[in-house]
Amino acid sequence: MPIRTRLTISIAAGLALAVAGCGGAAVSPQLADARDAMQQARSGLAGELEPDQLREAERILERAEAASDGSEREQHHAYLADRRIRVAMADAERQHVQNQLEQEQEQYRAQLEETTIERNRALEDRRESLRDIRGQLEEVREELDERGDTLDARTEELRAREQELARREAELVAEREARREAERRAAAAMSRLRELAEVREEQNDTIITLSGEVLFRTGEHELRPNSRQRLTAVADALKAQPDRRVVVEGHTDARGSDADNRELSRERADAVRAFLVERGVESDRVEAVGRGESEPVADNDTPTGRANNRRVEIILHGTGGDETAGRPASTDSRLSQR
Amino acid sequence: MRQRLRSPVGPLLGATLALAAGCGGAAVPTTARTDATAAVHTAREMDAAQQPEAAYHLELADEQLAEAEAHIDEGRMQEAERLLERAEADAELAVALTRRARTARDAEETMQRIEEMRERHL
Repeated sequence: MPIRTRLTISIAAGLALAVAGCGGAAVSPQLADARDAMQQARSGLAGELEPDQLREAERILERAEAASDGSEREQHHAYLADRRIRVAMADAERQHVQNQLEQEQEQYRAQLEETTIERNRALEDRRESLRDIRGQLEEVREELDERGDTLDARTEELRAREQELARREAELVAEREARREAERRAAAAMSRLRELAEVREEQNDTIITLSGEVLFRTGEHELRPNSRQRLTAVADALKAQPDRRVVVEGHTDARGSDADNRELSRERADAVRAFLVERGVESDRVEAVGRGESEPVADNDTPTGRANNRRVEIILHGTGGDETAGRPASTDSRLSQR
Repeated sequence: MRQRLRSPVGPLLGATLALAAGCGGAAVPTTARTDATAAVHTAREMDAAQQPEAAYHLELADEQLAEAEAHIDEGRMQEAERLLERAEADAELAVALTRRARTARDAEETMQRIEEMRERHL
């Protein structure tokens, strides 16, 4: 180092001599330009971003200014300072551009992050609403299923009802047919009977009157053999109307005692009843009653009148079509229980 | 340098020679030459020739380097050293200018990409 110091001193001395030899002059345009450049650099980006390089350039510039005489040495250092200043400026500009770029990138990153957050939020919202919609859809589907089940059940029920209805209708038709057939048979039987006996209708009752002379000998209660044809027709008519209750009433004329007449009439009614039962009429719907001479239909003072009063009446209660009319409560008191 | 100035009379001799040669130097400015050559090499490596302003300074550096070699051959060491220093300064400026241009170009590209990304994504 001492050698170098000495060398520097010796060079400086040599240069000083040389400068002295060459003579002084005005400041070189190079130095003036370098000063301007320095001014510009300091007030610009370089002053802010590259202060170290500018300080270095400043030192070189000071060396040039130390001469400040337009010499080659001054020009040389001004040249070097100028280059250094411009390097500092270029570096500063580069730094500036990089900073701007980084800012831009940072801004973009921030925007991207914000946008991402927003989009994620929107996405989450959509997912949420999608979940809601799915839930509602599921509910609707379940309700539809339920309704479908109900509908199936109701359809099944309806089908069963329709079948039941059809069955009842068929039953009804069959019943109506059966009734019509029964009525037809009853009408036919009554029509045959009308040819053999007096038949009249009183309110709901049908009253068949048979002459006592035709059925019995005087004072007796055994059926004449030739009465059987008529009574068989009566039995057929009764069997054709199985719903109607039957009362067999015996009647006499006014001759003889009242008690005798009552007994005879009852015995005769019993005989008729027995015959009808024998011929197939259900016994539990046929009653036999003796009325004696109490209910005459003609004058007992004439032979014709008395003949008319001696009779057996077979009363069919209620009409064939009316089931309830078959058993009027008032009838019971008139029946003699056997 | 140390090798060349072996005796204490060196400095005095140097100064004397300097004066004798007018404005020249006795020793070859090796350091300046190495520094200048390295700086020019770096600038060329960086393709400073591709950027107009940098290319101008690289050219200046080359010329000054060649001129310095001519001075060295003639024994005009002081002129040679100054030229080498200038060559180095110009080569360094070429490097700085190239870097600046490259950075500006890269930045522009990046900005454009960011703009594209913005349009596409934001």
